[in-house]
Amino acid sequence: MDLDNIAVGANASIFRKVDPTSIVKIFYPSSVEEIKQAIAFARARNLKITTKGGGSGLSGCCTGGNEKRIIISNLRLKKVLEIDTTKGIARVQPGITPDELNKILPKGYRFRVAPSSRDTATLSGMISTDAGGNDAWIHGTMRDNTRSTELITATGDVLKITSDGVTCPANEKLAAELNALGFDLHDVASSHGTLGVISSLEVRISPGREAALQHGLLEFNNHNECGEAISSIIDKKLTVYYGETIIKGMETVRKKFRYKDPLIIVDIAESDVDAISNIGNYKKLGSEESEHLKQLRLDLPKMNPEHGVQSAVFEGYGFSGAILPHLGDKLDLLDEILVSSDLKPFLRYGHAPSVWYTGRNSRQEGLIMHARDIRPDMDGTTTYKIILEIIDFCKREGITPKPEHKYPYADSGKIGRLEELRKVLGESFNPFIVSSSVEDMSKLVF
Amino acid sequence: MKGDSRIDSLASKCVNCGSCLAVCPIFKARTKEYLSPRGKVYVLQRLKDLSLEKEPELMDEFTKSLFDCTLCGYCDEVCKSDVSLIDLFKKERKKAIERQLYPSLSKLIDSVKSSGNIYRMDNEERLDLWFDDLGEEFPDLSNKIYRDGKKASTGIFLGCVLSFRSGQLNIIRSILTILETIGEDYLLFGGEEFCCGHPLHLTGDVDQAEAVRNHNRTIFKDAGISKLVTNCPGCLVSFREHYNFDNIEIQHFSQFLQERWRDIEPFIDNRVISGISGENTGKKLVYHDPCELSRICGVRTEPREVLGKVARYHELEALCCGGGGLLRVTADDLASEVAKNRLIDTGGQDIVTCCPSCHEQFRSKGVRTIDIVELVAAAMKKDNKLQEM
Repeated sequence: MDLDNIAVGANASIFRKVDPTSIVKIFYPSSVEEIKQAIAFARARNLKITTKGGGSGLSGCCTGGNEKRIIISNLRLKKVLEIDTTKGIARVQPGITPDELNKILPKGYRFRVAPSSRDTATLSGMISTDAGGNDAWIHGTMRDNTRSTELITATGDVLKITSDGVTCPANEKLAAELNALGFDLHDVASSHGTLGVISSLEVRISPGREAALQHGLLEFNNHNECGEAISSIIDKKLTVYYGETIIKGMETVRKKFRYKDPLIIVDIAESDVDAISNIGNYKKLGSEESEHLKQLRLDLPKMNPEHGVQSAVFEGYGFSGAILPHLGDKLDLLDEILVSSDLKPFLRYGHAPSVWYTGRNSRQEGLIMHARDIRPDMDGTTTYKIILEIIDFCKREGITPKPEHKYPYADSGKIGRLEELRKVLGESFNPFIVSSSVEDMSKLVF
Repeated sequence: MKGDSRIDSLASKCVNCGSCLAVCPIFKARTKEYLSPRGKVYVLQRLKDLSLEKEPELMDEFTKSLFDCTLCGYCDEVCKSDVSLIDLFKKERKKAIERQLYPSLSKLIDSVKSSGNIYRMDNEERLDLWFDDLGEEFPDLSNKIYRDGKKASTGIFLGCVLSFRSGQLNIIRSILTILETIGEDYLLFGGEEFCCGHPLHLTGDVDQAEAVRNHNRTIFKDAGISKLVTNCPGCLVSFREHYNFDNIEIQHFSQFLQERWRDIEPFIDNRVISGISGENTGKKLVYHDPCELSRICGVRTEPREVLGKVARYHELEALCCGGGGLLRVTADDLASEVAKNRLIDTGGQDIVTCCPSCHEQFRSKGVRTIDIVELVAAAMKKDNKLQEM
């Protein structure tokens, strides 16, 4: 066993009990040619292929399950290939992070997708999970900020994929076949590494914000009120450039937290301040206080309780439409499930208003709530059963399970589409995403 | 590891988010997951369920990987899960000594044990190597060297690198210039100064570290000092974390300069200030934060305040030079790679810092590197010795 084979299993999801002996070789390519060589290595040995970025995602797709496979890391693929401010694009290798990209963009320009893991998450990982961030309401998710990707297939063909379709000068027949299926960028978004290796992306960059902003805070008496307010912001299409909630549990990590949850931290266009003031108990914040709260929110996914350790057992819930005003009621039901399974609800926070996509390209608007719970010593099978129970609960109650980090295992629309495409593209990449059994997934639970 | 609940507890807190990987200078240099802090903690998290302890070769490789680390503390700084990564790594490092994985480390320990310094040299050389060079400039110097019964209020602890490395001579000269100019009541410890114990602590050899600390404690007490000043951040860490002084204030030399600026300022020659701002070389002066000073000891403002009084300088992101954590002893090529990466950030400018290890690292790459004390001393004198560097 090689030490790197063990260490490469490290990732932020609960699915990190990776069997190191199932990994035949790890590649750290730094060019398209080296990616192709890695793919050829796998093809010659009939091995599966998993790509890994920063390992900050919560779907576990970077693990590749436990099939005999190679891992292709993108962490040496960090070059910026082109920046064109007139077109508003940056063309980059897949291993660059949002923080790294923003650091070198011309003054005033930003890449607008900002997940809390923006220091670690790589752009190809982000398109593979269709990551969003705290200003997704205004700027959209990764698919809305990507103009094209290049994807290398199991046969070594390099596809260029945009929202209009696919081109492949070296294999026009393959391109025609994929175009006949309507293959486009939305299919790559949230594909969880099942279609090929992303070798470059063209992402949108834009200069500073257009509107004058005010920092503010909305506080609520209860969670239903909070959900109602998010619903109103969405209905009125208010220009919330930054919208983050702290929903529950703040007192357990910050005993002297001066605000009471639930609350929403916002940066809102000054023209919409009157409108938001009518929605809830709104107060203007100074820059320093606003920054302090934003940093606190950013740190929550990594902060442990005083006793025990936080766990992302099932970290994401999407509340939209008619269920938003019943947010508190749904949270109570969820807590009942967790408590009856010996989990201790810990933190609830997230993006609101925000957007996510289900199926192939169905836009949802609402609250993306992240959850962290305290898990007792519990085996993988028991934990995974709880996960399945939570998914059933979500389906019953009209909640999107894992809206941001995605849970393809529970999105039959997306799974069906990936299966359709894999019939053409081959089934070498991350097959566990589309075909894992409960037993397979249970073994991965850490 | 087995049964070590403290290590289990530290490792279990890690949520594997990867923020540490993004800032780790070793990972940046080698890009292998097992060399990242997250990778190392993850291996610890999997020890039991993978029964790794039954694979001695793998465990040796893992223990060695813990020495592929400068202990710069950047991972600790960005960790929001309260995992004290460097604490964790230090605790695990001792196994390398137990298993004799690094002959170079065993030599280092033997050297300190037999000679009182890390270079296996006669400890009297701590003084002799530079005394002849500086004796004429500082005629009263022999009275400033500790011997039985000699007392002073301030003890100056030079440390092994400053004392033994010829490239550090001008830093000693500068320290003496400042102390003599302001009339400080001070003592150097010469051949009675032993290694501070920091390198031994980094190897995990706790017992031997304590032995040299005890010797130093005795001479500090005998000298009656109420303040101990060092220019070496590694020594500073050792004094702060392990000496448990009751009545001795510990300072880095930059802190001493900042505290005593009122006494220093009257001797500052403005003409020299403009000459040492890099204008004579056509280069800018950039400040490099030593990791052990800034991240481990939290000393960030004092060096900048002092520097700002004698030179125009530019800030740099605080990143490691590769000179810490005994990396130069265990993997000099890796240390060199980290230094090269750091020098990309500095953009070929002149570097000012305040750590002998950082100084050695950069100078070994042919980069003009100046210590803050050299700037201050040069600003106090008309015959600017900086020009020799």
